[in-house]
Amino acid sequence: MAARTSSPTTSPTADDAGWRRLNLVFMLNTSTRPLTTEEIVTDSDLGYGSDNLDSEMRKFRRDRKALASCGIIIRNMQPEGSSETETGLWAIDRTSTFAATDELSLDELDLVIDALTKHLAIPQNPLSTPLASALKKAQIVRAVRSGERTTSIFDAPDRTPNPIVEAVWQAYTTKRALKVSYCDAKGTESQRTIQIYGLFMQNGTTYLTGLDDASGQIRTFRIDRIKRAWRPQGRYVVPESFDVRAYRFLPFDFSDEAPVDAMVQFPATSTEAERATITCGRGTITHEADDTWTWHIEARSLDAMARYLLGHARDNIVPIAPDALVDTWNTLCNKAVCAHEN
Amino acid sequence: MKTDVAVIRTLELLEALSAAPEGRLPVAELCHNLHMSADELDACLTTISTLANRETGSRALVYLGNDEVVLEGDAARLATLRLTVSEGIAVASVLSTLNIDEATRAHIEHAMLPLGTNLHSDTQLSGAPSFGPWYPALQAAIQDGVRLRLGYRAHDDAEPRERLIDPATIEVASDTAYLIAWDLEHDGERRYRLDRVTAVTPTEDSVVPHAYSHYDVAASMAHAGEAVTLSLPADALADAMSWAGVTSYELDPGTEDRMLMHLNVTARAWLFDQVLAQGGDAWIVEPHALRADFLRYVQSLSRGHDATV
Repeated sequence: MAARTSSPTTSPTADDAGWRRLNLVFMLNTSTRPLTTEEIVTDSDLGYGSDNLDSEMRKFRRDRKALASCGIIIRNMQPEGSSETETGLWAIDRTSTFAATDELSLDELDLVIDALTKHLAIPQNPLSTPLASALKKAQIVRAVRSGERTTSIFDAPDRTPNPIVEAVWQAYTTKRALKVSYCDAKGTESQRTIQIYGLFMQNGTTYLTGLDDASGQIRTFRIDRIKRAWRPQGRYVVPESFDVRAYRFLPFDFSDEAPVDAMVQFPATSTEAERATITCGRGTITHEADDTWTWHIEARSLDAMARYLLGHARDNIVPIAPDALVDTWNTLCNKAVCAHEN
Repeated sequence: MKTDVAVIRTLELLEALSAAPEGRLPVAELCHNLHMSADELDACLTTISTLANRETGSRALVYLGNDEVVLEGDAARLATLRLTVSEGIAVASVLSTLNIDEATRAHIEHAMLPLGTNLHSDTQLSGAPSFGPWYPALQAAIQDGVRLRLGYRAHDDAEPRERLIDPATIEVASDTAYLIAWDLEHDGERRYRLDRVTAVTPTEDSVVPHAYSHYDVAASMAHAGEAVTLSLPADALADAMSWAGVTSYELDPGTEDRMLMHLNVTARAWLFDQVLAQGGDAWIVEPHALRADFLRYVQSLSRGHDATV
């Protein structure tokens, strides 16, 4: 047994930011009262205490910000408008910092843990890193809540973090532009900086959509074609009108022809989830008087759309308009029949 | 370790020890789950043990003993933190795919997610596999071992029909989620797409043990599927290779631009649709009897949809 009980005089140096932040959390977590600004920034044992008060105030501000990003919210308990230097009284905001463990039932926790575990099994899930750490917390909350004396409180699937996926996620959540080296379908490599507006998964591949500096347009990129990513920098704001669902593509989007308004009928027995799987959230769906559903969508290639619909013919979805789409659908059926009649 | 990573790992370590029975956790489990090497854990423990509150006299006491990390006393105990903003965005996105009732979802978010921040991102995150509206009921039944009456519309069914099943688990593929269950009428293992489930009704009975195969989607098709050979253009091969159940392919003899693809199929309607989508450029080679079934299938589509065949 090796107990480490080093005295403060042998602690890491005061300019070790990590140790200082942890000590700040420890101090506030074990204190019976809030600490004043002066008590904090003049305390050399805590990691502050230099002669330059302004510098220590800035250090304290940076530490609060860093700890907030870890989920520890340190708040000035004085009324709004009070000066930090004069009357700051600091404590951990326990409501904002700690999970309300007692509010959740075991059933709710099991639902969350099961859902997170299932989503972690999705290949190339861009959410895998935050979900994995969230799963650990949920498992800890459950262990505390249940009081079960298990030999292990962690039961997470093994995963190998993907640094590119993690860089993309970090850039997206912090809203900082990401410089990448990208290899397109033809094998051409280019460097570009992207303000990531959204992420989506489709057919087992993960995509990011955002403002691309090379083209000046909103473009969509496959994450598995990013060869290298630099540290995100340069803040941006996602336009309020942006909706990533409009960028999910379907096979009939890829053509130089002008878009045509098409209508497709889903049977009355179709479920909302089935319709969502086929439409990918694109277009609009209306419920008709005969209980069927009509999908209104633009198509640039009627041939590709007819083939896409035939690929789901077992779901009893059929084209309604325009006539050219219906004719193409019929023609493809006839050709398939002829190929099997010989 | 970088400063921010070191701080996060230390907080996670204290959370885990605070939640563990008697404040003890095996070293190997901690290192594995917190992604720490033994040296990094050692450095972390050293840091924790230097934490002190001079006013209250509190000291953090943590030590290594018999392949365990032990936290003693209350000073260093740390209640479980709320999720960070990054974690909260991800969890909010997951919760939105589950079709759980609004009250439960709000309850979970209020207890665990960061407060005062709108983390819903339906317009920025999309495409997660569909779990359908019955996931919470299925998950609860699996958890409690309850036999179910399942309303489900298979590919070959015009209407949903009810099945008596023992639910086992839910598996996720890239685009959809499946319920693995035992069909009691047919006494066999079945996979059901969650987005095709139409009703879930618990019975009074409990599930009983079954000899599940533990196959994944591809292995299940190989085990239970029907062997089929298709002829298709060489330039269609790349897309077709993404189909589950493909076992092999080779050049179609006597041609230069066509391939023979061999695959196992469990849903004929799915296969027929993929052939239809090729618009006459692909055809079924073997089994020959399947070609007549294909023609009957297309005729049934035509009767329903006024197509000229």
